[in-house]
Amino acid sequence: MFRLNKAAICCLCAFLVITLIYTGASGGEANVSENNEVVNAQYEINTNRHTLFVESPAVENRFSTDNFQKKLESDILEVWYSEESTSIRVVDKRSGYIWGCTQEEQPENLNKKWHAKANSLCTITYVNKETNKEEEVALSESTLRKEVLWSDNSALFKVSGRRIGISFEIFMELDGDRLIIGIDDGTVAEEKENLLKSVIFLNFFGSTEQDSVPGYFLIPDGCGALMRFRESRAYTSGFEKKVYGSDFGVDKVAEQMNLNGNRTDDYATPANQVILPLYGIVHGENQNGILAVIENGAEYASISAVPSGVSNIDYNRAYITFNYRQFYDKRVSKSRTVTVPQEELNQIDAELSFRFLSGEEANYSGMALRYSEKLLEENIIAKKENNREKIPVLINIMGSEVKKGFLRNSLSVLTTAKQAMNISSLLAKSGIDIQTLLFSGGLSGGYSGSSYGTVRFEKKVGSSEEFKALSDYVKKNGGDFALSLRVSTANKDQINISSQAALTRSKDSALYEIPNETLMYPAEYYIKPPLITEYVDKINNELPAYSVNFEDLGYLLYSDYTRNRQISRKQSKELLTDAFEKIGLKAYFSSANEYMLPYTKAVTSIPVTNSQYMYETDTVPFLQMILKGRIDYYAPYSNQGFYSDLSVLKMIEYGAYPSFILMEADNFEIYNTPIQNMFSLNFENWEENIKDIYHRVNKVLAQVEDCQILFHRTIMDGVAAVGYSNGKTIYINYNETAVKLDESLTIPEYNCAVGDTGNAF
Amino acid sequence: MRKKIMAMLSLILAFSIIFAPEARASESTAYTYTMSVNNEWIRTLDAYMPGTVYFYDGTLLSPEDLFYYDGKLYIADTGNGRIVIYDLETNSVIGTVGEGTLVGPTGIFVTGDGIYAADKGSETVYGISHEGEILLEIKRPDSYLFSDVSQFIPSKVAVTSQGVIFVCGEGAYEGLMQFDKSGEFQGYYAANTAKISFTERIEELFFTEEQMETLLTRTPAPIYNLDISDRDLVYSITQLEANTAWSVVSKTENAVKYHNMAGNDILSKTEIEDEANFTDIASYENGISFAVSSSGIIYEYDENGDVIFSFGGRDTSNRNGLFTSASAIDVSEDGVIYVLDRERGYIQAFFPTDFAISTHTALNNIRTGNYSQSEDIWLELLKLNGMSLVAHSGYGKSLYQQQRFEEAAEQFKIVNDKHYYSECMWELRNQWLQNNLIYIISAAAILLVLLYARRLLIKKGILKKRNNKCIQRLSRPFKVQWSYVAAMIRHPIDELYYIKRGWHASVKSATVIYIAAFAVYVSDMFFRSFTFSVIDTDNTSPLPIVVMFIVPLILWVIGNSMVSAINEGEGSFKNVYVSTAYAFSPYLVFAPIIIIATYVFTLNEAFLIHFSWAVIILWTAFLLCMSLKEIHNYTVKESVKVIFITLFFMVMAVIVCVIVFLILQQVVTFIEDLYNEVTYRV
Repeated sequence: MFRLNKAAICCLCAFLVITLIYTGASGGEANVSENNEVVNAQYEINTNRHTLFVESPAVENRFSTDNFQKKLESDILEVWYSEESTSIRVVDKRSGYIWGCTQEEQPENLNKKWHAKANSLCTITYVNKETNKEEEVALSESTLRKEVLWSDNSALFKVSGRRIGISFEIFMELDGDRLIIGIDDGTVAEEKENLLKSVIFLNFFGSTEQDSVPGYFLIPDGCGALMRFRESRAYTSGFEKKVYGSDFGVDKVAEQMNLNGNRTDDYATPANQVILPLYGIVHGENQNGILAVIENGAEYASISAVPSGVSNIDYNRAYITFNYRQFYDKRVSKSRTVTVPQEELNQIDAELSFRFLSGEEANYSGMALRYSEKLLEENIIAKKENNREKIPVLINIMGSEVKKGFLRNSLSVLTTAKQAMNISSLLAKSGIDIQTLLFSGGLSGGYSGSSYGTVRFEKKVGSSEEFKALSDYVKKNGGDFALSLRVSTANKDQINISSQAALTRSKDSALYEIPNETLMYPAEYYIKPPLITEYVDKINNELPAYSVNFEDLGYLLYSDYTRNRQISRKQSKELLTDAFEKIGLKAYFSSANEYMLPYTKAVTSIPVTNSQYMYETDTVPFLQMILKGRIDYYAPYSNQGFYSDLSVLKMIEYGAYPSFILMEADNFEIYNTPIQNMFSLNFENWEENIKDIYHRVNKVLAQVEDCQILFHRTIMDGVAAVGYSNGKTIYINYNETAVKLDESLTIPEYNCAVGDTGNAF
Repeated sequence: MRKKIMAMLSLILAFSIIFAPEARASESTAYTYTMSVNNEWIRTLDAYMPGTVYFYDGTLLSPEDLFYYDGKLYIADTGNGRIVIYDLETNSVIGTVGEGTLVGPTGIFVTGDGIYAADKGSETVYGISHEGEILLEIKRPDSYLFSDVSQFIPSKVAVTSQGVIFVCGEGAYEGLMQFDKSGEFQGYYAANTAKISFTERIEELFFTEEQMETLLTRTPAPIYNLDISDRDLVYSITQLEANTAWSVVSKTENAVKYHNMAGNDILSKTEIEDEANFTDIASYENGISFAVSSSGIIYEYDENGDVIFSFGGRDTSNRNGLFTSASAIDVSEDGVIYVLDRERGYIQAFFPTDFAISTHTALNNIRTGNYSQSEDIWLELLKLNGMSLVAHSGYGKSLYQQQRFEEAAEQFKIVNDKHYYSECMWELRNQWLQNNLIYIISAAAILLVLLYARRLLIKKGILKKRNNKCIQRLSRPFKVQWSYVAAMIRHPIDELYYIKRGWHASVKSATVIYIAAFAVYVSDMFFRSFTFSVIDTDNTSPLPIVVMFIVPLILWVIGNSMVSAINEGEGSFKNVYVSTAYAFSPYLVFAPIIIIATYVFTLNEAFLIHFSWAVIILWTAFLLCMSLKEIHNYTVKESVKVIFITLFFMVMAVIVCVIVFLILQQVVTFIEDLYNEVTYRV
């Protein structure tokens, strides 16, 4: 009897697996996509918007520890040091692999200066106060005097440059598989006319010459990018971006390239900003890897990943720069500015750590796991138990917006609270009941017309009772309701520019201007940080019943140079995190820098590609692997272009929930409003697509709700496997032919399947 | 100096990494634009996605041209003096052609017969077999047809399915050079016309022959590039002068042309959206073509020359899908676009998204007459972008062809297409007339009978002629004043005499007439039917419209009375004020009739509207002059003089006002600056 039962269960399991094979793509798409898709898919999967399938041969040691002395040792690593070149070698005892910078003897393709720089533990850049001239000095050069104090598992480098008048102390520490290196803020001293500008640690550590080593850099660009090592090519620049984005208080917002054409100069889509302070190096996939993390001082750091070929250097290299100072335009009169380095030193407790990975861990998935562990330990993210049977969907309702008028601007009501309720219930009736309903333009004046700081509802859209009813309805169904608003940016009609906009170092209003004359508000001003926290407080106090979606708060970090009330980038960050900490607020963000993750309910628009630089070879769901099962995240709005069958497959691959931005009014209603670039918002038009896309994604992703991603891998051309913590693996096939993985598992073309063997094949 | 350069460099380094903060759903690196219903650029869904990059390994050196043929890319590798053939199937270079023969090929065209290469370096056009054998060499023709003064520097080449060879020469303003299959020169084809600027026209009027000879000869712009469509017709690209603000205003020529057998441009749109620095054009099926500018902007045109999509752009940071200097474009049968970047020597592929493919399907359905089928697709496209010109006008055309004129008219109104709107209206009017003709005729007949009967009855004395004094008395003050309007139309000289004497009309009544005329003017601006409307009511500010009426009027009245006062005019200011008002009589009476008529007439009868409009304006102007003459009791000669002086006064008054305004503005800015400076320093 028992045996029979077991057999029955086995049969049942097998049956389940087969039924789980997903057959969605043939759904009710418009009559346009079916046979054309063949053209698209084969081209799409070969771009750097997907992960390539590349096999990695074994990697041999290129370095030895000759001329180096063993100084530090843990049970996993050994650190060897050379006094002459101030370089290090790190031996991974698990594999015997030796990590280093470059060869000891000067190679042909590096001159002496570059060779010194490449091998040194650190390189500093300083500026002469009088001449504004920049100079770069490597630690190994005689300009800098070094005194090293070694202890069991740490070291202290006392560095002083008498001639240049700059001194500081570098600390190094070995902790298991982690090597930590940094400079404490208090130890930096400047005596003469030279100012410390920046410090780079080990800028060639883990570098490779052209494609001599199979491997890649992991770059936190968008959701994650790989830069596979290739032959030198004539790139004009490599990847270099400030962590947490530009500082609009200092960085001059450069004009976009002039197209000199009939069309507007607003042509390039914005590149992604860095929201995670890390990068990774892999030498041989599943063999050797390093995860470099900025443990401290990230707000003043930038991440560089330079492909071989840039400025004729035939090495791929990745490194972190800590910026102690920056040039800015100092205002000397109303019309004249001069470019000078900033006077005061940025307060940075620079700390950089290298985690050495070996074997199965040494790939981007392993790095994501290791990084999640770190974030979990620091309580930045936490495992979540939603116990949902279905996935949620994000519906952003556009309530009202200002419209350019004949005599004066008017308010265009796009969806009332009651109509929103109707939309919500229509979707709920078709089984889409767990909704994250955001309401934009619900506050008095409309989406781009509400005056900054208002917490009153727009009467024409709905009364506070109606909003309450809507919120209650959505929550009753198991979803959440949030008011969506912008608190960090505003247009000229929403604020009093002189009192509310932040000032740059040059004493101008901090703003970003889009070079497009047809836009109603081409310029967005950045608000003074204290006003932001004030507004956040006010919302929390006066609208306690509602969650909030802060569209622009999560990813903007800038300093403010208002006279007598200067706020540095670091203070600005603390101001925000303190405010959220104090009131215990968790909110929605369209995109969140790492320090905002503890206060994030969900990320409403997660990137699904990198910025598509030519040197980036792959996109990987690195960010998704960190967030999945911890913080919900939603794909870009499907009705703004992310709706095709390929997009749905990508949504499933990246574990992203679908999202839509909708309104009741006709599409033409948004013409001549600031949101006219959102082309298609009408609910009725999209109703069928919403149901279709939701159910297709839900069918697969509902099976891995509350689970974490353990690995993501491309197992063959156009086929990705994503493993989850409950043992299920989702296979996505972008190819035009079905793929048979084994007897029980075939993935139909342009489709996906769920296996529960727990491995990737 | 060096210090400065260093500072500049560090500045560039410090500031170059700036990005717009917001991320939207677009997965591409450049936005796709289309034309909005108001003919402005507006963003739309991604139409093409950047795909694979070919040759980013330095194989090519300054390549100038590429050609897609039968699954292979043929590239004119100019810097290396050869043609490279790349197989897209196997993703590899399968051979090179012309090494040793070609010096610097800049143009390439491939047919089943072989590869044609225009080699600027050796001033020769080569025909090369697919195996690499030189079959044909075209050097500078000996023919008497070939211009003596021009050189033969072939830069681009194209070949029809019949084997006719078109060669585009550097500086060849005579047009494209046409050769037959064997390389015999046949003549020039499709030359551009020379443009004459305004100053040149003036020069032509006044210069002597000697002076004319010192000027540069005027030559038309040479054709820069060409392609052959699937109908064996020639697309051409002309590079226009630098795109300064001035030349945009005075654009006289389209950069893209589509030539018939006679060489005439047959694109139906007279002024198409284009770029001055287009470098190549590629013809796709169904009348669709793609053009690329050296700044990397790609335009997709339909068969009329309307822009369907525009995307791409200049690269500043090594991003896919953008270009440092685009030199050529071609398209495969799948609709995959290949764009060549000359500076970096690589080819970027773009593949169409579902959105682009369905747009093409819909356009093709309209072309081939599948109207009902295309309707669904247009509706789908309107769902994706409710502001797209192409979608609204396509939907409108499909409705029109299905005889759903009312709905179609609505669409054409949205896209501001007066021609098609008027066509719809004509059809609708026709329908209405056909349906109601019987009623109209019978109603007219009944009315006639009734009138006749009434007259008969009055004649017989059975019915008395009605005389409603009561109403007359009530409306008397107004009626009398209005009756002067009628009088002004019928007997202007008499009426003006009465006005001058002060017997007829008062200041009050004149003011009423001014207000009425203004009302007529405003309704003429805003309430004409769409077919005949002169302004775009949604996007016009009301102020200039008001100013255009009131300012000249005030200036005329003031100027007239002031000028006549010192020219022995007899009329007082009051006379001038009142008489000018009554001069508007014809306008007041007849303009409303025309406004109403615009709702009945279509563009077919536009002449009637325009002609009667001109009559009214001339009549009113005549009365204005007349009133001046009569009121002041001038002779004709004196009147003419005073009129000119008045006009001069009006112009001067405007100029003086502008100058005063500018000076005042300067003063205000000065005070503002002073204040700012003080507050900044203190």
